[in-house]
Amino acid sequence: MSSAFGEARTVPASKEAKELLRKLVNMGLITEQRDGWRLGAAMGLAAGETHTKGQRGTFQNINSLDPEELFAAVMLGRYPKDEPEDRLRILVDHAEWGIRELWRQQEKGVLNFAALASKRQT
Amino acid sequence: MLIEKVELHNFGPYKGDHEIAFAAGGAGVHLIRGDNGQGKTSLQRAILWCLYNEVLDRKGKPIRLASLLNSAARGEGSYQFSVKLHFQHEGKKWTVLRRITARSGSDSAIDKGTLTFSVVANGEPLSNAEHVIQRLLPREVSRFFFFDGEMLRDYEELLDQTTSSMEMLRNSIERVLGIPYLLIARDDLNEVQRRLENERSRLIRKLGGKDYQQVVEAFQKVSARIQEREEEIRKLQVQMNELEAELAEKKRRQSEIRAVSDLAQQRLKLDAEIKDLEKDHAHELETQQRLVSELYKTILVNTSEPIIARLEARHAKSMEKYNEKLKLTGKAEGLAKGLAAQKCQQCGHVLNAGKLRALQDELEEVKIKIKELTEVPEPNLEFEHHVNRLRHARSQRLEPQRFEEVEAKLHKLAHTRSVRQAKLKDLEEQLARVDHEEPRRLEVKIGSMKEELGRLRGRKETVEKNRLEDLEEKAELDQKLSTIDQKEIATLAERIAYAKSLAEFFQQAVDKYRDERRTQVESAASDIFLKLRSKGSFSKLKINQQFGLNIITKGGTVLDRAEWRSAGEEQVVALALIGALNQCAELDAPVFMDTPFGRLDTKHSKNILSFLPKLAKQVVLMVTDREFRAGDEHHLDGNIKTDMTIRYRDEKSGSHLFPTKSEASR
Repeated sequence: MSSAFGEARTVPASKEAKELLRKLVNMGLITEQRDGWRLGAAMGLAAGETHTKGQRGTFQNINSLDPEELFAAVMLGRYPKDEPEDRLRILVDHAEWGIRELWRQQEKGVLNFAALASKRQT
Repeated sequence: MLIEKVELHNFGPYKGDHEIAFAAGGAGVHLIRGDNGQGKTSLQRAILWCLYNEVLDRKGKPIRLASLLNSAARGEGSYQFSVKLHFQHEGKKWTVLRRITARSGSDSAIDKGTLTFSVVANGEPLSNAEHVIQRLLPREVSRFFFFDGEMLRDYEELLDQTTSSMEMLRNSIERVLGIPYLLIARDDLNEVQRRLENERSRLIRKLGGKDYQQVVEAFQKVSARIQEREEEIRKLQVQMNELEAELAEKKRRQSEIRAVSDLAQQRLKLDAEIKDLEKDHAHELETQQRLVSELYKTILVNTSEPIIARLEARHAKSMEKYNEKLKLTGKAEGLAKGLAAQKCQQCGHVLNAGKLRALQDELEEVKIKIKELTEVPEPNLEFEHHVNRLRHARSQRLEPQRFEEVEAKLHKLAHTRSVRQAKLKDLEEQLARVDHEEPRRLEVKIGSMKEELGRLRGRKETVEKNRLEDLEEKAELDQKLSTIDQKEIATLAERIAYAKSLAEFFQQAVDKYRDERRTQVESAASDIFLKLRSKGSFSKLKINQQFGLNIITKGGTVLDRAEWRSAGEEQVVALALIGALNQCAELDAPVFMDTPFGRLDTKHSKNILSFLPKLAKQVVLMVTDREFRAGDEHHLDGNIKTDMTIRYRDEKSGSHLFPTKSEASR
């Protein structure tokens, strides 16, 4: 069990993000909301973008969102000096941005998974 | 008749004023080009409406007047449309104008609009205009001069000897050939005979006294009975014709409904195809969802190289500190042991006080370094753990091509499905218009109509038999009456006999003339067919009593319609018949052919084009680009007098006519 996020057990999400994830599931783009959250978080991290506004409520357990501790590894590598609670907050900020971006691209009809898979960002 | 010019005003797709002038006074071949839906058929309909005040759609149903007014003009408040024809005929210049003017733009107002119709010959307006047109070109025969694919259907009916429409068609052909003139003469002579017989009966009553009274009365009764029977036979024939026409319509409807059951089969097939496509689509979507659920790893891995490097550096640094600490701890232990034993741990020499102090100092330094190395605690094992996680994730990286492949499959499946669904919607719309009770009702109706037809036939046969008996009786009475020795009566008897023999003579003349004309048509059609045919094995055409034509092969085989199997060959035979009728016709009219090569291959089309200049004095070809290709002009050997193109611009401005050359340079 990684200590990258300290004692935190649950990951929060904003109302808007939850609503967008629900819509994406209904559209059949993703099977479960957690898939959309992971994709959004990865997109936010890759783009280096965050969304910090809005209130957040409980979303899902950290172990179900990051079963292979990849986000923990990336966050620890990227933010080594931050406090574990801050790392988690920043990860959620990335996810909040990514979920909105995912929805925006889907709405505009420019969502391209192949392009997302081929982007090599540093 | 040579049409020189057609003027249109707000007719069909032609908004405002348009005219088409046929060069060379109308003689020769004239091309009117245009794709489907540009206004070629409307031009032909305009001429027919101008002549006969009736326009039929492709199913032979009349088109209401409201549908003939240009919709854009109607939208702008113009409720008048007209067609004016200018033509030469029998050495005179003619103009025919037909116009409808309505008070408002409602369908019923246009349908009930004021009709203006005039026929002018050499500047003189003619009374009884409709009758004049019927004389020039009877409506019933116009189908042989203005035709499209419908003509082919009509011709096919000729070979079906059970329909009343076949009889009407045969009458039309006979009219083209001038046979009715002789029939009218025969009927007139029969009427003359009847009048003379009445006159004789009146005279016998007046002169013959009681002796012949009974015979005369019997003769008059039998004559009246014969007349009644003939009238009844005529009425029965009319009833039978109407019933047969209705029956043919019902049968056509029945075959349409059978076609509907084919549609239902197609719908089932489409349904199954769509279900399969949906299944495939769902399967591909699942694949995509599975890939998308793993995509985050690929994105993270793609951006994790610097993170791995950073974590590895941290890990190496912490391992370095750890190893240094181990080394120093070992050293500290050795120094502590040396100090405790006061001798060297390696060589065993006893250490003096100075050495011991130096060792003590060294030990203190090592302890300080060890303390420094453990003062800042680091999750050193986690670095390695996370690096391993990220390295492992590299092997799970998804290639972009996998997403592209799935996306392409999904697109293809979605497109195919939408095409199928559009077809299905179309089929369902067609099927929605079907009354499912109709087939049963039709079956019952057709059955009762057949019974009624049988009853009428039976009745007609009975009446005909009675008529023949009456005729025998009348002949006997006539024999008795002819013995009356009265000069006037004898003279009348002679006149009656003369009228009778003349009527019989005319009947024979009709039969002979009909046979001759039929032979003429067969010969002319065969000549044309041999010019148009594509197969050398075809020898000639053979005509039947209904003017239907069968192909005879060189081996003498008669190919009836069922055996032709080629719509193109049927069309060639139909064109041969039209050509023959125009050659043998008592009428002189232009030939307007709307999309005439629809079913024909290039070779047949070429043969027909080469023959066209000989088909009639004026031939107007209305063709699509697919029918009349670039370079086809040379088959007409310089006979093209007019070459126009029709183009439909848009709903607001409608169709326009241009000389093809100017159109090509646009």
